[in-house]
Parts: sequence; structure tokens; C-alpha cells
Amino acid sequence: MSSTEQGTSSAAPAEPTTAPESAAAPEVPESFYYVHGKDKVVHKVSAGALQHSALIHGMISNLGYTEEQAKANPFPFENIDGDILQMVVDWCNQHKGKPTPPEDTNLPKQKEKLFDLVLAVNYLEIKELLTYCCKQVAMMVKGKSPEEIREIWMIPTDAEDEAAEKEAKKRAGKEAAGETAAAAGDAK
Amino acid sequence: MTSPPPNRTGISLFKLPYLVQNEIYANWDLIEIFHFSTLSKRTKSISKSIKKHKLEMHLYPFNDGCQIMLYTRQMGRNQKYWRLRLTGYGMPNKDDDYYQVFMKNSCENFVFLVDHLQDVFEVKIETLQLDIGEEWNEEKMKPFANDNRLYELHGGFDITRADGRIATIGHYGYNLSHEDNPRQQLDTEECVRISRVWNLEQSDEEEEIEEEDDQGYIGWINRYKKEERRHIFMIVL
Repeated sequence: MSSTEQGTSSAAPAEPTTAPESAAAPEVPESFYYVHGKDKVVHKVSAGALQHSALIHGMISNLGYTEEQAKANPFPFENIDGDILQMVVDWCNQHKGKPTPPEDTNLPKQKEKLFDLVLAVNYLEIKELLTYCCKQVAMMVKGKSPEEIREIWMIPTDAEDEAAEKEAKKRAGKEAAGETAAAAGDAK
Repeated sequence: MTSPPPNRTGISLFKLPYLVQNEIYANWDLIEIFHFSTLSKRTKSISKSIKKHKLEMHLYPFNDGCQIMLYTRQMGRNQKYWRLRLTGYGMPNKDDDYYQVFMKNSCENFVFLVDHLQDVFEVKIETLQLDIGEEWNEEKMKPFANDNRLYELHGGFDITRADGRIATIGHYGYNLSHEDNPRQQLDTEECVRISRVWNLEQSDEEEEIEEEDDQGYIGWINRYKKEERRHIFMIVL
């Protein structure tokens, strides 16, 4: 991705949202990488913080970027909303080099946000954060009646499941017929 | 899937990746798994595959408090239990530690509920208490199957259960006696009389018993006879 595609100047790598600098300067200068989500806002994150993400850590190890190269080529995560990526980056910075606590109470309470966060965290392979998120999601149905659980999780009834299955079969049949017709057309 | 009703807002659980779903299920307690399992065939199938505690089940179908108790198999401090109370057994008190079971979907009555629990949690019925003041389990039933008898069975009547097994039903006080407490003449007479009254179309004699009330020994006998008639047992052969 070129630097011009990185959105407005405020979102450019020159003025990234920076991770809090460690008070005690490390002996070896820490390397930084850049990520952006759907909103193209670039976040500067230390390699230490990014270690939480198995996906990004793997990318860094394989690419062997210099800091300049990393600045010019932020990792694009187009499938993650900007605010969600911000949450993930904050969490990684907050827990950089620290043992993760057994509970995390700073996760969003809003169901939709939590859902998006779970998907993002799963994609980025941040195991500890995924564990917290899943726990929080699981606790949403604590003390709820079955019908409330159905509402919260949008669980289809048997009738809805059967209708969906029928619809899927119908669609598959149509697609198969379309492919056969296309193959016959090609043969001619 | 048909589109959800417009008033339904929330997270669609089944849209989450499979591994994430499993991570969520792993955080659930027995009650959440149970409630989830009652929602549809699909949720029941998922619930069966969730890793769960090994449990044992105790049934008290005529109890006003809890009708089903589930225990984890490990003993000691780590042992957990769940007391289930079915809807229709009165309103739960604030201080109750019962879990209210909503009789809907696949749990339409007590028998369906027990079957459902057995199916989802692979749990065996350990005891069945029919308000006879005493619990019966495999250990206690052994004397009926060998010569070393502790209890003796006198009469009763046989039924064929819904599962095809033959069971004997009787009064705890009149059809069953312990070797240390042999049957009294009173028991035999009362047993014969009750059988006769039950078979009458107009059981005037039954009402007569109910009305009888006296202090002292006679009164005690009458109360005993009245009380014992409520205590029934079932032996499954």
C-alpha cells in the first residue's frame, strides 16, 4: 500500500497514534511497526506490543522490515473497523511485556462492539484477549431464560433452520444448473 | 436462514468462527448449557458435544422445592451441585438457590426434562425419591435381586412403563417390610382394605377413614394409616 492511500495527513504515518513510550529507555532501541484498519488511520505499535498477535508477529518475522520500510508499508487490516483496531492496539500496548491478568474489565459492554472485537482478535490471533472476550460474551447469557438467550444470540428456531436448509439446497441446485449450462456453452 | 424478526437485535452466535464458539461454550456452567440445549435441535446437538462435568442425577418429582439435583461426581470441597425447580411448582423465594427450569420446547414435562438431561449430559439416574421418606438406589435395591434379603415385598401391582420395563408399585407401609420390622397384622388388614376400597366405584369407606380422628392410640393408628397410604414406591424389574 502506498503512502498516498493512507488517508488524510492526520492519518499518515508522520503523525501516528503512538504507543506510550517506556519511561526506562531500553538498551536496544525498540522497533516500531504500523497498522491500519478500514478507516485507514495508521497506528504506531512497538514490536513488543505486537508480539501478542501471532499473525502480526509472524508477518514481522517473515518480512524482516526496517523501520523505514515498516513506516512506508503499514500492515493493512481492511476487515477491521478503525475503532476496533484502536481497542486492540491499546490492549496490546497496555499489556506489553506484562503477564496478563485473570480478568479484563475494560472490554466493551456493547454487544455489537464486542462481537466485532471477537472477530478482529480471532483474526489477529491474540490468544489472551480472545479468551477474555469469549468469557465476556459467554457471561452475557448468565441468569437469562432460554428465550432471552435466543434473543441475545439470534438463535434460529427449528423451523427457521429447516427453511434455511431448504433455501441453501435450492441455491446450490440453481448454481449447479448454472455451471452445467455454462460448461455446455463452452463446449459449443 | 430466514431473516430474523425485526425486533431481534444482537449477536448471531453461529456467525462466529467455530473455534471462537467453542471457547465461549467452554465458559458456560451447566445451567447455561442446559438452557441453550432447549432452544433447537441444532443447539441440543452442540450442547451434547460441549465438554462437561461427569454428573449424577437425583430425582424428587413430588417435592415442592427442587425436583432434580445434579451433582458432579468428584467428592469433597470441589463437588458442585445444581438444584433444578420446574415452573409450576410455585414461585421461587428470593433466598432460594434453585435454578428455575422453564418448561418449554423440548422440556414440556418432567419426563421429557429427565430424558433431555440424560441425553445432553449423559447422566445416569442415581436415586428416585417418591416422597417415601427414604431414597432408593442400586445398593438398596440389591436385596431384591439376591437371597440376602433386607426387605420383603408383599403384593403391590405391576405396570408396564413407557420404556417397556415392568415395575411394581405399592405402598411403602403395607407392601414392604424390613427384616428387623416384620409385618404387623394391622398392615395386612389395612393393605387388604385399601385394595378393596380402591376397587370400589363409590369409595364411601375411604371417606369414612378420612373423617376418623381421635386422640391417643386409635388416633395415632388412624393418622399412621392415612399417612402410609401416601407413601408409594416403585421397583423396576
